[in-house]
This record gives sequence, structure tokens and C-alpha cells, in this order.
Amino acid sequence: MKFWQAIIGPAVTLLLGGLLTVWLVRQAPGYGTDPSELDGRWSAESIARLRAERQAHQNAWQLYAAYLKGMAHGDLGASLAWNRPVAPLLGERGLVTLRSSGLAVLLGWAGAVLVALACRFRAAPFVDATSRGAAAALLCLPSPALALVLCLAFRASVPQLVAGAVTGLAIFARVLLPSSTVLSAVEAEPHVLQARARGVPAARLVIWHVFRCAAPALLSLLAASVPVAFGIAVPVETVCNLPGAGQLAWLAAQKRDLPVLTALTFALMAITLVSTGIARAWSWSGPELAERRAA
Amino acid sequence: MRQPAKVAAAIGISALAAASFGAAWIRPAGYAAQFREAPTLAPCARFPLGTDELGRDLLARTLYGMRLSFVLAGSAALVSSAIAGLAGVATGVFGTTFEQVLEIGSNLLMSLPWLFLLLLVRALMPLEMPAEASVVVTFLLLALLGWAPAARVTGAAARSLRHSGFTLRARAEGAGSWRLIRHQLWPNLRPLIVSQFLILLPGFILSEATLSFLGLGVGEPLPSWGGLLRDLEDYSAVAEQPWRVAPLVLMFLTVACLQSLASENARRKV
Repeated sequence: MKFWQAIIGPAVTLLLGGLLTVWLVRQAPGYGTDPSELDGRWSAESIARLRAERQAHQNAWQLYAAYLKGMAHGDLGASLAWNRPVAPLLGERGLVTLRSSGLAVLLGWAGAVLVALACRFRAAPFVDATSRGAAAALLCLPSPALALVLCLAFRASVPQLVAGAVTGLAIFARVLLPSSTVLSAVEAEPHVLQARARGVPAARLVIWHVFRCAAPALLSLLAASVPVAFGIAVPVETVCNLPGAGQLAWLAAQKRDLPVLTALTFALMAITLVSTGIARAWSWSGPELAERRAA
Repeated sequence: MRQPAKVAAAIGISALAAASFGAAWIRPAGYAAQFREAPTLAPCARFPLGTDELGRDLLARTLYGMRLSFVLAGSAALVSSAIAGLAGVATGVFGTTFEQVLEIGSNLLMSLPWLFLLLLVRALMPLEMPAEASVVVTFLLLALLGWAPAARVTGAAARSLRHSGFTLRARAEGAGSWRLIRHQLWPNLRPLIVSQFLILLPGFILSEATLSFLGLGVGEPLPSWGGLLRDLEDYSAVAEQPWRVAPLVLMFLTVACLQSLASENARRKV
């Protein structure tokens, strides 16, 4: 039942979100107007006929059904600003974002988990205070400002590195405190206390008793970081002039390229719902695994 | 001085708020006045933060921008917290049906990255608009799209209150919905709503700055923190004129003070 809930819920949200987006796009001022109407060579009768043809397909439901049908065949429409199909455009740009931010998300998450582990089990008050202070400071800066500071430091010579560094630092700041909370909860578990009392070496204690128990919650933090990374990519890629999906979103918003915005909304919604679903599944599996191990 | 961090944050935010709301008194010339004889001026006695390329006083623009940010983000956070509070109260009174509606609504809003959601909805509105209208649009975007996380928290609290012993007893004694709200739900949800307001406020300040930085927030000539950050895009100019980062430092201090107040408040609740 839980499994079907996890599948059906996000699918319904995705379909509803898509419908809402198409409806909003349909309501946007200037939607459906064609530049050819300004072409003096068209007669008034032809323009009226063109308008009537467009009106016939402008019901939000019909529009959505046509969009879903096209999407099933890999057709996401054509970009108005770039004058090319949306699907390959999204693929190219998405790859750039994945290259610059994918590894950064992993490194930011791993760094935060390692620092939290070191602070909890190696009793390093200086590292604890410094890392917490740094995380709090990073959360007080908007990501474009952080990107500007790093661009200033690196003289903007390596935009991929700057974008990756900003994403990594932002993920580190967001993951550090929750992972520290998870680890402190695991630290108080009876089996960890018992292992400590028995004098189990620190490395074995961390790997076999702490990390195995905390892994589902920590992995769910990693999954939840994926959509956050895209939110950061929009201003950061704009500042660094990196041609990724984040910059595409910003340019599409500025140029009111509605087909690109609709496709991006669908893609991001799917990514967010899948990563949230994975995060939820991992957090559910945590207590079940613990119970099984205890049994 | 049992909570030095909270006291320091309260003093800091009070000083910053006083400076921003006293902007008209501190810099009477205003944020739009142009001193054409002094463009790109270094800090001096007349202009403590220098001037921009158009000869506008940067201290005046920073203070007025800070005021705009306080008012805009504060009002948006207030509206979002009010929506979250109403959602919580409705969950407590109407139960499962409303809870499901709330979950669908919040799922829809939270299934997109926050900044992309703002960008998408902003892009569907007219892009060229007067500066005053851009302020209203930014405020509405933040207020109407940012309530979902807070509503989830208040909804969850209201659900546990609905099943709590004292609520069940009040119902058994014949308390109506209004009495239940006044005596059981509201007093217990109020501290949580205040916490949510304090959590939303710095987030909205950062969101407004990012949106304005991307050119989709508060429009010129009105000053905003995002607009002032845009001036930093010219890295070489910043290296030569380091005082230009002053608005960024002030924004950092403001958000740090607000986050410190929010976390101290949350810790007190725990």
C-alpha cells in the first residue's frame, strides 16, 4: 500500500502541476499572438482565419492533452527564442548543469557528513564550532552573492569550478546540521553505547554501528539536495555565464519562452518528486532495517 | 544575559531597522537624487559609501533598499504565516478532508525548486512594469507561493492537537468550533506561527534579493538589495572599489541577526 501511495501520489501531483502550468501559460498576457499578424502582406480575412484556427486549439484541456501526447513521442514543442526543438536544447543544457553541479552535490553532502561524523565521534570542538559557523554564514548569503565573491576570487576564469564550488558549499551548509542531528540520535542508540562500552575501535564503531544505522536518513538528505542544487544553479549559472539548464530557465523567463518554461517545469517537477520519493523510501526503510537487525 | 546571541541579534536588527526606517532623516536627498558632478566617487565625508555611475548616493540607496526589503519581506512573511495559521486552524477544525486538500496544495507548490517557481510565475506576468507595480508583484509572489512549508508544520501540529486529550475533552463537553479555535487551537498554534514568521522572513529577504538580482524583482529606480548586488557583477570594478560590497555586508548582517533570532526562538520552544 505504501509503495502504491509513493507511486500514485507523485504521479497525480506531476499531472496536476503540468495542468496548472499549461493553464497559467494559457493565461499569460500575449499568449497565442503571432508576429505574422503584423505582416502587412496578410489580408484581414487571412489574419481572422489564422486567429480562428488558434482559438480552436486554445482550450487549456485540449492544449494539455496535445502537450502530453507530444511528450509521449519525445516532442516537447519548439523554443520561440532559440528557434529549435526544446528536447535537444534541454538535453544539452541539462548535461552542462549535471557536469558542473552533480559532483558538487555529492562532494558537499559527503563533506558535511564527514565533518559531522568527525565532530561527533572524534570530539573536535574547534572543527565543530568552525564548521557550524561557516554553514550558518553560508546560509546568510544569497547564492548569486556567493558566486560573485568566488568569481572575484578566481577572476571568473573557470566558471564550471565556481558554479560547482557554490553548489557544493550551499549543499554542505544545508546538510551539515541535519546530518549532525541524525548522527547524535544514532549515537544515543543502545547498540552504539554497548559497542563503546566494549571498547570497539572508533573506525569500526563508526562504520558498522553508526553509519549503517544512519545511512538511510543520510542518503535521504542527499536525495533531497538534488532539487535544491537546481534552485542554486539558476542564479549561479547566470552570474558565471555558464550555458546550463539554470541559465536556460533564466533566459526563458526573460524572453517569455513559454514552451521551454513548460518543459523545464515538467522536468524539474519529475526530478523533485522522484528525489523526494527516494528520500521518503530511504527514511521509511531506516526504522524497518533497524527493527529487522534488532530481531 | 542568559541568551547573549539572542540579545546581540536583537540589538543588531534593531539598529539596522532604525537606520533603514530613519533613511529619510539620515539621507534627506533620497535614493534617486543624482549628483552629476560626483559619479563613481570613493567614500568621503559627504558620501560615506561613495556614489554609483549615475552619481547616486550609495548609502541612501542601501538604507532605502534595506527599508524596502524589511517592509516587503516582512509583509510577505506575515501574509504567508497568516495563510499557514489559517491552514493549521482549518486542519484542526475540519480534519482529514481539509488536511488532504492542504497536502495536495503544498505538494504542488513544493514540487518545484523555490527559485524556479518564483521565476516561472514571474515570467507569466508582464515583464515591463512600473517600479511600484514590481514591488507589489514581488510581494504577492513571495506571500502567495511561500506559505507551503509553514502550512505543513502548522498542519502537522494541528493534527496532533486535534487528537490530544484536552481537545477531545472540550469536544465531549460540547465546545463548538469557534470555542475550540479560541481556547484550544489558537493558543497552542500561536508560538508556532511566530516561529514560522521568523523562519520565513530571512528566507524571503534572500529570495527577493536573488529575484531582483536576476532582473525579475523590484525594478529601477527603486533601490533593493538585489539591485545593489547587480552592481557587483563587474568584478574588476569591485576589486578597484571594495567599498561597493557594503550593501552585501549589511544584507549578511541582517539575515544573520534574523536567523539567529529564529533559531534561538526555535531552541526555546524545544
